[in-house]
Amino acid sequence: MHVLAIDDSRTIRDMVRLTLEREGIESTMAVDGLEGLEILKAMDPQPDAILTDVNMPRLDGFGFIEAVRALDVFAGIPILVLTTEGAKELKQRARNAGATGWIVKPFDPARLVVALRTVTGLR
Amino acid sequence: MSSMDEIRATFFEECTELLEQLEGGLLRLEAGEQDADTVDAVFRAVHSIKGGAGAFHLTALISFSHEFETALDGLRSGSVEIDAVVVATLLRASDRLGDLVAKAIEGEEGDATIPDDLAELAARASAGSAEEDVDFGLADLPPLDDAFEVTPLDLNMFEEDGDAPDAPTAPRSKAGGYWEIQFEPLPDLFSSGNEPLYLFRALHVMGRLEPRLIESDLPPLEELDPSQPRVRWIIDLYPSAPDLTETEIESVFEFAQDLCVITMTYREPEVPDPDPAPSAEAEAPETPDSAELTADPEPTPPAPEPPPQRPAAQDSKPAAPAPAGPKGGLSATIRVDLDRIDRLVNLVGELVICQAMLSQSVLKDGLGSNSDSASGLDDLQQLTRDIQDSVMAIRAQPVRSLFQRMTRIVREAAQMTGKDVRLETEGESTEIDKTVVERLSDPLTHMIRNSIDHGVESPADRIAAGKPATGTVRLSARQQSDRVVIEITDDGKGIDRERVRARAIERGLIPADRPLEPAEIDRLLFLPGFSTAASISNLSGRGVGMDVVQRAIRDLNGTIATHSEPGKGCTFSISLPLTLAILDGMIVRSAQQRMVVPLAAIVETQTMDSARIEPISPMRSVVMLQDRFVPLLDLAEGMGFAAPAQIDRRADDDSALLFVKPDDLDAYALRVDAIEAQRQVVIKGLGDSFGRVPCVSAATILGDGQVALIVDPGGLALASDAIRGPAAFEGHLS
Repeated sequence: MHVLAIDDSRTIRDMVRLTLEREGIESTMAVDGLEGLEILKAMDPQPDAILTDVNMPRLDGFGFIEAVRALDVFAGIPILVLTTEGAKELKQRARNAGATGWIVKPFDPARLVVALRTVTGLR
Repeated sequence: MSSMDEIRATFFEECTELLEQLEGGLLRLEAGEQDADTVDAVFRAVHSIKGGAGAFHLTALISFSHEFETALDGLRSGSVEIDAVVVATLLRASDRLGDLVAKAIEGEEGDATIPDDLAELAARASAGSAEEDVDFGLADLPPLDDAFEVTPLDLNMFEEDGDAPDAPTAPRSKAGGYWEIQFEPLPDLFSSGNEPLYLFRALHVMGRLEPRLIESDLPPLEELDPSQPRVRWIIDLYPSAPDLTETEIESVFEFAQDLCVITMTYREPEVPDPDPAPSAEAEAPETPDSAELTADPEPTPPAPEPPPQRPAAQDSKPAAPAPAGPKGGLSATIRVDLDRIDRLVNLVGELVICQAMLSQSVLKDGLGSNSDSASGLDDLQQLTRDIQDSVMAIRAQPVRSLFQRMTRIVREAAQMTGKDVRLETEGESTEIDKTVVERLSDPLTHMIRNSIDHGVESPADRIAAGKPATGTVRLSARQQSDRVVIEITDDGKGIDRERVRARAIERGLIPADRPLEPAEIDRLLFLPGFSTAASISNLSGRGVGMDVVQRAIRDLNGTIATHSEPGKGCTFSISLPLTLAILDGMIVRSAQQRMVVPLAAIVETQTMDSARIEPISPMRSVVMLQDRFVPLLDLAEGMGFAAPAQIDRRADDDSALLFVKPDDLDAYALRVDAIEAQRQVVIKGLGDSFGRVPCVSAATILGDGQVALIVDPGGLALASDAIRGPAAFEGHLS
C-alpha cells in the first residue's frame, strides 16, 4: 500500500510516516494542499489512499479534496482527513467535498492503519 | 534514540520555527499588515503547536495553545477586531507560549495559567463564533510511551450523535450462527471514495461471506448513472471468531455510516450444534446452495457495478516509489543532523590541508608550473574551494530568526525602562554560519538592551529634543565580500563621551590628564572593568559589560566598532567571517616562526626597501601608507618572539611590510621576515588548556604538517605599545 500524506506539521508527518512504515506501508509526504495536488498528479501509480490535514497554508484540506475529486481519474481514491478539529460542521464540509473518512488527532496508530486498510481494501 | 524520541526532537525544533512564524506574523499585524494570510499563518502556527503537543501529551502546552488558538480564531472569523491592545496581548501570549515550549523541552510542565487578557480575548472570540469546538478529550488521554502504543483515542467518523452501542451490550455471535447484513449504498457513497468491494474485503477478514445482490432497483441501461450505486446486498457473514460483536462489524462501515443503510441481524444456526467445540478454523456450517467466497474474495456482482476508477489491487503489492518526475519530487528540503555536516566540514578542512601538502610536494620535486601535475593541482584547488563553498552554504542560515528573537528583547527592555521603542530590521535573509548565528544571540541581546537603556531617551526627553516620541533601534545585516556586517543603530542621544571619560578616570582605567580622541573614548566602553551595569540599571547590565560582548565577537573571529554622534544616536557595527572553519590567509615568516595573517585585514603589502620608513624615536618608526603615516610594528616583537629592536634593513632581506587594518582600529604596518604564500588555511582551535592568548586567534596546520599560529591583527594592535603609544591603557589590556 502506498499512501500520500499531507500535513504542514513536520511532527505529524514524521509520526504518520513512522506509523505507516512500521506496518510496511509506503508513504509520500506533502506539506500543503497545493504540493499534495502536484505530487498526486505526478504519482504513477496513483497512491492507494490519501491522508490530509485541514488547516494548511496555500491550499487547505477542503480545497485539496475538492480539487482531487474534480478530476475524474482521482474520483475513487479514498481520502481520510486527519485533523485536530472535531466540529460536526467541519466534518460535513469535508464530506461534501468528497472525503472518505475523518480521523481526529492525536491519532491512534493502530486504528489509523485499520482505517486505511478498510478504505483501500488492501492488507 | 528511539524513533519516538526523534520525532519529539523534531517537534521541538518545529516549535521553535513555529514560534518564529507566530511572532513574525504578530509583528506584521502590529505593523498594520492585517490581511487574511497573516492572520491565517499566525493561527496555523499555534494550531500546529497544539497538534504536536497533543501527540506528546504536553498538557500545559496543549491547554495554553488551545486558549491561544481560540483567541486567534476570533481574529480569523472577524469577531475580534485587531487593534494595538489585541496585538499586545497576543505578543505576550506568544512569549508565554515560547516559555512553555522551553519548559517542555526540559521535560517540565510549565505554568499553563491563562493570563486574564488572553482569556478575555478568547471569550470574546468564542462568543462571536457559532462554531462549537469539540473537546479533544485532553483529560482522557492515556500517557504515550516510547513504544508508540496508545489505546484507541477518538476515531471520529461521520456518525450521528449517538455512538455505536458498547461492546458489552451488543449481541455476540455464537458458534454456528451467522450475521445477516443488509447493505444499501446511498447515492453519495462512491463520490466519497468509499468502495463496497473494499468493505466486503474488510468483512471477509472476519469470516466467510455469502453475499446476495439485490438488483431489482436497477434502471434500464440507458438510464444508468455509473457514478451512483443502484444495487444493494444482503450479506451473510459466518464469523471465524465465535465472539464477533455487532460493534466490530459496524466498524467496517464507520466511514460509510452516513452514506448507506445498514441493518444487522444475528441468525441462530438452523440446526442446533450439539457439539460446542470452538471452530477457530472457521469452517462454519455448510450452506449447500450458496456461491461461497473463498480466500480470495472477489464478490463480483453480476450487476453493472460502477467500476472503481483505479486498478483494483489484489493484494498489498509493493507500491512504486515516489515519482522522480520534475514536479513529482517530495519536499525540496531534507533535514540533516548538524554532526554530519560538521564531519563534512572537518573533512573538507582536511582536504584543504592535503591539497596544500600536495602542492608543496610538487614544488619540492621540481615539477614546473606547466607540468600536468601542477595544472591538475590547480583544478583540484578550484574543486576544493567549490566543495568548501558548498559545504559552508549548508551550514549557512539566515539571520532572520536571530533578529526576530530581538523583537522580544526590545519589547521587554522598552517596558522595563518605560520608553517607547520600535525595532526595525533589515537584511534578515543575510546568511551566516549557524554557529555564528547561535553565538550572536547573547551579544546582540546585550547590545540592544544597552541601546535602549543608555541610548534611547525617555519619550519626554525625545519630544523636548525635537525627535519623535518613539525611539528606533535598527538591526541590519549585509554581506560584504567574505564577511557579514551586522549593525545595531539607535536614534538616541549617542555616547555621552564626557561621562564615559569621567568614569574611565574614576575607575582608574586611564590617567586623568590624558587627552583622548572621540573614537578613543568610545573604545573605552569595551575595556574590562568599565561596565556601567552595577549602578545605572538592572537592565542592560546583568553583570555583563561591553568587554564581554567584544570578547564574544572576537571569539567568532569578528570585530566590533562604534560610531556615535551626540544627540543623533549610536551605531555598533559587528563584522564577522562567513565561516568559522576556513580562512584566507597570508603565510609569513618572522623570527623563524611561520604565522598566518588573515587576508581580510591586509590592505596592502610592500617590500621593505620600497617602503618609506621614518624613525620617530630610537625604538619606534612610522611608515608612509598612501599619504599618511602609520605606526610600524615588527611581528616578532609584537608576538613576543623578539625584543623591541631597531628595524632591520639589510639589502638582501626578503622582509616585507603588511599594511594591516583591523575593522575597529586604525591601520598599522607589520614587518615580517618574509611572505611565503597566500592560501586557505583550516582554522583549528588552540584547545582549552591555552585559554585566551592575546594576539593569536587560532592555529592551523600548514601543507608540510607544521603548526602555525593565526595572528589576530586587532589583538596585536591593542597589545602593542608601539601602536597604542606608551601611555594608552597601560596595564589594562595585557
